Amino acid sequence: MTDLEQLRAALREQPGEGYPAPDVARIIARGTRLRRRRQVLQGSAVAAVVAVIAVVAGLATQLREPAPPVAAGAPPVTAPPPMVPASTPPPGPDKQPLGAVVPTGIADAQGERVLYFVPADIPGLPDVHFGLMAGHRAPSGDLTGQLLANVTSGSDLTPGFRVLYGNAGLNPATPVFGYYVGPAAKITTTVRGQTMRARQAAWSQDPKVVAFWFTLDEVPSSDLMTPPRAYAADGSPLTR
Amino acid sequence: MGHGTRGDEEFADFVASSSGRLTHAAYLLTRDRHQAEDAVQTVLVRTYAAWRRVRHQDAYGYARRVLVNHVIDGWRRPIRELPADEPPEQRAADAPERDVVNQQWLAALLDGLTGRERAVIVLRHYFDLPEAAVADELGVSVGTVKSTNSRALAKLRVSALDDVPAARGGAA
Repeated sequence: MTDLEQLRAALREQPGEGYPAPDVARIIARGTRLRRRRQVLQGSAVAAVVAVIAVVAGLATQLREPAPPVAAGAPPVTAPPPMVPASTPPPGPDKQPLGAVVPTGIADAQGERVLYFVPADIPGLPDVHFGLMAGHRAPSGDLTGQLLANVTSGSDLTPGFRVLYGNAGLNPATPVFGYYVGPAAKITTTVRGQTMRARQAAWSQDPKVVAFWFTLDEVPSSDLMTPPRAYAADGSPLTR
Repeated sequence: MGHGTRGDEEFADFVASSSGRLTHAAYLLTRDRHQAEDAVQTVLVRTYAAWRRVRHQDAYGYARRVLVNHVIDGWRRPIRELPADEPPEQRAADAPERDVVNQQWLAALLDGLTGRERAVIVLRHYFDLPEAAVADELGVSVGTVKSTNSRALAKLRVSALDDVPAARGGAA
C-alpha cells in the first residue's frame, strides 16, 4: 500500500461509534421555512421590477400626451419632464432597493451583477435597518436578488467594514462584496501577495456608506484574500 | 411538507444514504464532531430548500459544495486561520492498534494543515474529485489546487508520486 493509499484509507476510517442520524423531520421543517423565505425575497424583487416598469411607462405616457392648454395668467411650463435614470429605484413599499442600484460592470449568464441596499427589519437587531443585496439586472431591467448580507450584531452604521461576503461555490460564482462605513477613498486587499483595489460606490442615501466589490479575476475567492483595508483621500489608513 | 410526500421520501432516502459520508467529511474539515454535525444539519436544510431543483441532478455534489463552502465561510468569519509552517510529527510505523493509531495520526496531521490545505485534501482524497473539480468547487485555479495539494501532502509526509488524476469524479 502506498503512502497515498494509506492516507486515503485513513481519511475514510470513520470513528468507531459512528455519527448520529440527522433528524429528517426537523431538517424538512427548517428547509421549508428557508425555501419560503427565499420565495418571499424573489417575490419582492419581482414587485420592484413591476414598479420600475410602472414608472417608466408613466413617463412615456407623459411624453406622448400633448401639453394641456395653458390657462390665461398661469406661468408657462418650460421645465422638461423629469428624467428617470436606469439606476433610480422605484418608489413603493418595503423591500425595494434603498437608493441607487450600483452596477458592477460584471456580467454573467444571468445578466449584469448589481449591488443595492435594501431595508432590513430583524428581530433582536434594533440597530440594523438595511442590508446589502448582491443580485442581477437582466437586459430587460428585471432585478433579481441573490445574496443579502447584513450585520448580525450591533449597528449597521458602526464605522469600519460591516459586511464582507463572497462565495465562489455558488453558481454563478459571487464576487466578493461588502460595505464600509466611513470616508473610504480606497479599499484594498492582498491576494497571493498582490494588492487588489476594490471598485466602490458611495450609497446614494448615505454617502458615508461605501459599497465595494472585487472582480472574480482579482479575488477569485474570499478565502484567498487578506482582511481588506480602507484608506482616506490623503492615503491615511482608516479604522477596520 | 414542502415538496410533497414523494419528494420528501426521496429526500429522506438521500439523507440516509449520504449523511454519514457528509458528516465524516465535515469532521475531517472541522476536526470537531459537534461542529461537523451542526454543519451537516445546515447543509441538509439548504439542500432540502433546493430539493426541487437538485433532486434529479447531482444532489450529493450540491450538498458537498454547500458543505465545503459553509465550513470555509465559518473559518473566515470569527478568526483567520494562520498556516502552520512546521509539519506535525510523523506517525509511528507498524504501531499496534492500527485503527486507533490511524485516527490519532490523521487527527494530528490534519490539525497541522491550513483550512485551504485541509479542504483540498478532503475534496481530492476523500471525495476523490479530479483536480479540475476541486478547483471549480473552491473557486481557484487548477494550478493552485496542485500546489496546495503538493504542499499539504508534503506536510503530511505523504509521497505524491502516485497521485494521478482520478478517473472518476464525485465518488465516495
